[in-house]
Amino acid sequence: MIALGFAVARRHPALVLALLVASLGPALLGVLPLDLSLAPHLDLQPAARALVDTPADDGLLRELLAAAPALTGVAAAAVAIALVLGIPSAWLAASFLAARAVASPLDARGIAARGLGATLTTLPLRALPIIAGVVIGLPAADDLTLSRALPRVLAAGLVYALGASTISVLTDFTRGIALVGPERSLFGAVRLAARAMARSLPLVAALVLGDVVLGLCALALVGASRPLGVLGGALFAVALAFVVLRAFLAATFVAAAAARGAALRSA
Amino acid sequence: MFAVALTLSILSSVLRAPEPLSARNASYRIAARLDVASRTVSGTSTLIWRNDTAGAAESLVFHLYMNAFKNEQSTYFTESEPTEKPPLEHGKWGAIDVPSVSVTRADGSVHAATLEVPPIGDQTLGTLRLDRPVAAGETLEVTMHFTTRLPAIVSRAGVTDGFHAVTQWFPKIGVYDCDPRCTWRASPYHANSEFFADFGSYDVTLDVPAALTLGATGVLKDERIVDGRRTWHFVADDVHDFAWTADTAFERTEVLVDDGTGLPPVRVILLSRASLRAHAARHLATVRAGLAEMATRLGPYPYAALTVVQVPHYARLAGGMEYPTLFFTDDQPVLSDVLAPELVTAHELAHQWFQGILASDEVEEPWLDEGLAELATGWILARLSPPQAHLYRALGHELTYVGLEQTLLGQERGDPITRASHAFRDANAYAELSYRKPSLLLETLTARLGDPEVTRLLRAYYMHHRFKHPRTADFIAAFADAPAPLRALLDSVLHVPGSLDYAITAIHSEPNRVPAGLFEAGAERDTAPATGHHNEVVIERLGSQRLPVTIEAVFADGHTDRKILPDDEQPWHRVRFDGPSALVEARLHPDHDTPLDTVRWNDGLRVHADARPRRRLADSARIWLALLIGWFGR
Repeated sequence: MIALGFAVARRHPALVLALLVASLGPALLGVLPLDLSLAPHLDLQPAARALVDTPADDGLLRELLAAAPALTGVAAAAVAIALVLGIPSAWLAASFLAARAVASPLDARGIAARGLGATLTTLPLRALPIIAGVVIGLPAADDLTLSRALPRVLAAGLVYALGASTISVLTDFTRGIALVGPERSLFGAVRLAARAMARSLPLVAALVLGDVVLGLCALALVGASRPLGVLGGALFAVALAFVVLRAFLAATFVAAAAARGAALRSA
Repeated sequence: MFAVALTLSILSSVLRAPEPLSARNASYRIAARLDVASRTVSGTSTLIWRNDTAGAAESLVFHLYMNAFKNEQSTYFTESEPTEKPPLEHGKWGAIDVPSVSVTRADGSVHAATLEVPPIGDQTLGTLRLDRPVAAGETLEVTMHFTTRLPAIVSRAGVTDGFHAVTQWFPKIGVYDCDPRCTWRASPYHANSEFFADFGSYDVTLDVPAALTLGATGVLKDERIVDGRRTWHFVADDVHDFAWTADTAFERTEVLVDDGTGLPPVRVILLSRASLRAHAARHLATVRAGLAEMATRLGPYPYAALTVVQVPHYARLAGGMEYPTLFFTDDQPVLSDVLAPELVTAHELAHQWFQGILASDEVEEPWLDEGLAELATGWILARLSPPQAHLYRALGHELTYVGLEQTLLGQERGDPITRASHAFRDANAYAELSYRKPSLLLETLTARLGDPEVTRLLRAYYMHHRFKHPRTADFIAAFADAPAPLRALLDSVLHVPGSLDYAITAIHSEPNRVPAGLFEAGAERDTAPATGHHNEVVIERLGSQRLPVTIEAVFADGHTDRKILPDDEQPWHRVRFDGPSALVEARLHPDHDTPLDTVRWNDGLRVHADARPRRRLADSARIWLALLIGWFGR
């Protein structure tokens, strides 16, 4: 079934590209105001180098944010804009990809409505892994050192990642079912998707693990960057390539899960 | 007479030095009993007080600081900012009651007295009217029965879930001072202030449930268990306060620390608990480094014992506070590379010298203990093994200790440093101007004068005023030999509101050209390239405080040049760096010798914009956002 996903992703490069654009576009646009706001503060200041040098001087960063508090607001707005634009766009792109995978009879408007509807129906479930992660990880706040807290933090992160990916796969199954059976209610599609997942455990496991591995790769990029989180040179290129790869694999996963969901619904 | 006997009985075991170190004019013998169920400490305190001034005292004034937590009419409550009201409610208030007092004169006469406390409003000071004045040099004994009800942990005192921080718990006499005129230096318990008292000897017997482990000021002389209760007997000399702590969960670790002075080692007692054990070694390592560093800088820790208390998370309001020979530290969950536990322990340990021994008035001149303790915190961190100048240096990021101070000081505040703790505009101003700014002032003096010279001056100040009550004027006098600009800065920063802020506000570089125009004999000449560059920089003094500053110019051919600006009254200077090469950038304080100039973002300027650092930051943000969208956009 994952092979089917690959095939769909290869057959519809425009949709893979759409998924990529949905990720990168809002990020590019969202950061633009921050980029422009930083220019008068950084471009003529020799001290700006100390923010990206290794080690980065966090004292200077704190001073900058204290002296120009508007920057914090602009940065927050950048994140908000990117997420508000990017996440629904990605959901939309995934819906069209799923529609291609399951040969949905719906027109574009119907695909958008049913796809987004299926996504929003499963949205509350995304809180579950967050709650589970917090419940598991919260006691780590009482640990005094990272080495003591690390096992619990890792366990919490893993539980969250596995749970979040499972909900993502459920969403993909639901989309597939919703897109081939427009007469079915969305809640009914979720229930059917859950049953379908139970009958496709190897596929579900492969999709979830694949998704988590991609997430871990992103964390590895964070860990490899010095200063932490500031990508430069080769690492920036790797990160960009990773974003592209992730979009392609995500498209594959979406297609595979939707197709299996739809197939089991038909059966 | 009794005072002498008390002193002799405990002299040999509580000090590392063989003689009385202080005037010991306010000594106490206290016997008290802790009732855990009712959260009360009740007992009898006998004060032996000698009037060491040249004037007679007609009354005595006592601190009754536990009344700060008695009700919402206390100065402590009324001064607390609305957003930081103490977390006290029904059943959690604290108070001290002194129902009976008797005064014994040297001639053996005894008379009963009443400690007068205002019936409403703040009740943290009590006045004892005497039948006749206490003459200069006269000694009397004041015996008080008291009952102290401990609040829930609040502002460094109280009891919560079995953890007891028993501080400011007995009637403590103020400081009688006749310089320049006779008055009691005793202050209500303010929201943003600490404490002030005279030196003496303490003999304290505490009767507590046997299950409790205690730590206290001084040294433990003996203990015994009777009927499920344990009596702990502590003695201390040449201290100006007595605090203790108790908990059933304490894990007691005791180590002997040699500070390298040749004196007997200091017995360091760490009171930890299972949940805080991971930081125990870090606190002890800091204490080791601190005892050695402070002995080298100022003089050896004079007491035989030091107790360090790790405070549980639920009682953090008791943390980060010093008392003679005992302090409460703080433990936050931090990465092992972050020196937060070390920072608090180093600061509180430094207070053993700056206020424990140099007993300045923490209420009226808080900078003298907090600012100097902040400076010494940096000394102690640097003494750690390996030496640390950073709060953290991990994962490609760092925050230096001085950088932390700079960011915490922030922008200019409208108060001078030398204000009473309760006279600052708010708690932030108190923290910035009592802790950060004096510390950065002294860091600046250190960078300019050199560490050995500043240490020499501070040691002279310490040796002259130890076990006394030094004031700001005494500190300034200690720097009388410093160069004039630095003395002027010291005086200005301490007494005048304002900031030290120099900025490069303009920079210009262009190739030289042959001048065009009409010249000799009417010859007209067009411009043409010439050798060299015209380079200039404008430096403005944005703050009111002044100091000579160094400016460094960086040129396109890689070489640098420096000039020094005088600390004159000019608000700005134009500095020229003409030469063969184009100017690329200019920056102030290239030797990092002016930590007091905390606005570092205006300390440099480039001739041409360099967008690379900004692009790198923005591009990184774009990638991370794309990944975030990818994760949540499935």
